Amino acid sequence: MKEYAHAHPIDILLSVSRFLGLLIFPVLRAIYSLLFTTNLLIDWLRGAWFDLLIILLIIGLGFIRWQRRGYRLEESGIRWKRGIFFVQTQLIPYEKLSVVAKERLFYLMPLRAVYVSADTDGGDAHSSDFSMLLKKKEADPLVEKCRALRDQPQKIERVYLPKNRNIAILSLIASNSLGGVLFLSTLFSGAGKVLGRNIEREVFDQLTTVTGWLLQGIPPAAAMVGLLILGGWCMSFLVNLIRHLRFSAARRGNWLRIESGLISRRLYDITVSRINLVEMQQNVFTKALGLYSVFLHANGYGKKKDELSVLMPSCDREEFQNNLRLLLPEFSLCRATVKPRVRYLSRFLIPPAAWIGGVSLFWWIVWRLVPDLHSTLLFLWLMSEVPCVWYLIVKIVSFFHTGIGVKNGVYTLRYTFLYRFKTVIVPRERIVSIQVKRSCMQFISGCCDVVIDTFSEGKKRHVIPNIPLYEAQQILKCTDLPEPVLLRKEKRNRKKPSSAS
Amino acid sequence: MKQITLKKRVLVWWECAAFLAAILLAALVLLIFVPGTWLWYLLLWVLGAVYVLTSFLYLPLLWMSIIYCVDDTCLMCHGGVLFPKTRVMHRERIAFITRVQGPVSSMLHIATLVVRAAGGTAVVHMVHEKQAEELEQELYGGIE
Repeated sequence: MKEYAHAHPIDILLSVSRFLGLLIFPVLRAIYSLLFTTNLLIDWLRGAWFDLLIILLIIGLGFIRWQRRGYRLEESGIRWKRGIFFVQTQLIPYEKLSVVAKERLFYLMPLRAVYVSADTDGGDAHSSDFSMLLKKKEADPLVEKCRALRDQPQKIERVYLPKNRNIAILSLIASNSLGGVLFLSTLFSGAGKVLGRNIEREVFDQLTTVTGWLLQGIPPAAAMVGLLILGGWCMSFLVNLIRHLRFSAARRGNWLRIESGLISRRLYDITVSRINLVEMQQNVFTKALGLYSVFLHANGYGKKKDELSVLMPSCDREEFQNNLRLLLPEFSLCRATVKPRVRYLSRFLIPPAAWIGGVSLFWWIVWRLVPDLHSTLLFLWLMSEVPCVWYLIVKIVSFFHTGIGVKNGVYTLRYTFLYRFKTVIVPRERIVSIQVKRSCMQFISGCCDVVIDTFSEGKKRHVIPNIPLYEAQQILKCTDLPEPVLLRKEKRNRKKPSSAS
Repeated sequence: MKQITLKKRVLVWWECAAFLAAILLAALVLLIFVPGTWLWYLLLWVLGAVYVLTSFLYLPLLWMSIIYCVDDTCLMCHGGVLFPKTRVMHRERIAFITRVQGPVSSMLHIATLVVRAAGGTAVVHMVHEKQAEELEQELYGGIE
């Protein structure tokens, strides 16, 4: 039997971080020497052997961890062994692999060390089923073997290379604190434009009075907070940009290879048959501009922290359809055939209207209770209404966006999640369950919410709200899944008049 | 349908663990509480009663209730005394299997299999090493 191969020796040093908690003992000893002894340095030095012992123990444990971790390539899969006290052995079959990833981090490049990870449909949602830091010369054959045994490679390769401008747009959209920065900028600097200079001055005077009462020198601190948010956003933008520059997606046979990264290069081999879904995301701005950001959902891709599962950074509709035909012809986009009726429009408008009313009521009560701060309250009321009105706009657009379509066993689901418009293309086989939910009001109006769970290591749920029940029932029949009891009743009721006639 | 039950040594190991836990708890009670008080007596009596119930009733019943079955289509895990539970996992959904062995289980030649599938995990607790290996082989044989 072939021996287990070990990780790159640098893994010993990286493993040490797991045992750094043991340093608490030298720290406690130092505190004891500091508090309870007279001759501090000599007493501390006398017991220095203990600190050295702990450091040796930490390094030793790192070494044992490295020594007990190993992998070997077998005929059917990757055999992986790990654990010091509780030894875990697992075999990951090649045909079950959904994603094999190779990550070349810039600081490990001089050492020729590469992170290799492999993932299946099962296992933990937040970590890879197999992950090891390997020598480059060992990593390449492993990745090649995983790919070769899953597929017969074809000569024709179709490649998609986005422009840097498109990657910059994605980074702009995906950077987290953009909304917050825009909002704060409007709050602090745009107040004058909205309400006039007098009110702006009054707001800042009031704010300075309140903050001055709370803490000394708050305005510079506020500026600091603003700068931090802006800096945070800039950093997030840069990280996203660097992570996704030199992006490419190539389709060859039964697998898709995605590469990205300017400094640290990441390579993913994704088995096409194990892709769960393709998801397009838009916000109001990108929808108005006709731009899409397209993401891929395959177990193991985009799993790590701050990692996005990008397929196309940003593109227009035509570009999207062409590239999708090029890379994933199995996933075809279709028009929504089941859409909300005009009489269900109120169901889209009531939640944002309730938010607008609720926020107004709250500020009106505050207005009555605090008569001295009318102008400040007016400004705060207007500012807090902005997200609510934005939500109303999103919901109006959502009414036209929402729907379900099906073509050749591939569903296209259109719905809104928070402030984002989503279009999801999912094959029938990757749907786990379908629920049809109806509230009392929906029972009266004859519409329903369709909740679709798709394949995922965690939970991936899509809620398509307020679509006609009977049409939803018809489109769901295509899934060959048992129909809910409620639908069967509805169907019977619909059949009765025809049988009577 | 192939059935796997637990070996007697597993029950012995559980009994030993329960005895050690009871001894440890009793020692804590004897050390912490004042001897001869009503609380001291109450704690010792409750501890004794719990130990007797666990050791002579619950653990043997639990040991007897645990059965694992495997056929062409699925893996079935059954177990539980107060709330018996049966978990059925389709073999075609199985992604991979992890075998776990601690220091004691290595000594007793027993292993635990964690069967990971798309959407869930089933655990085959403390079966004999040989049975674990056979089960693993059989389940991997069903992977298409």
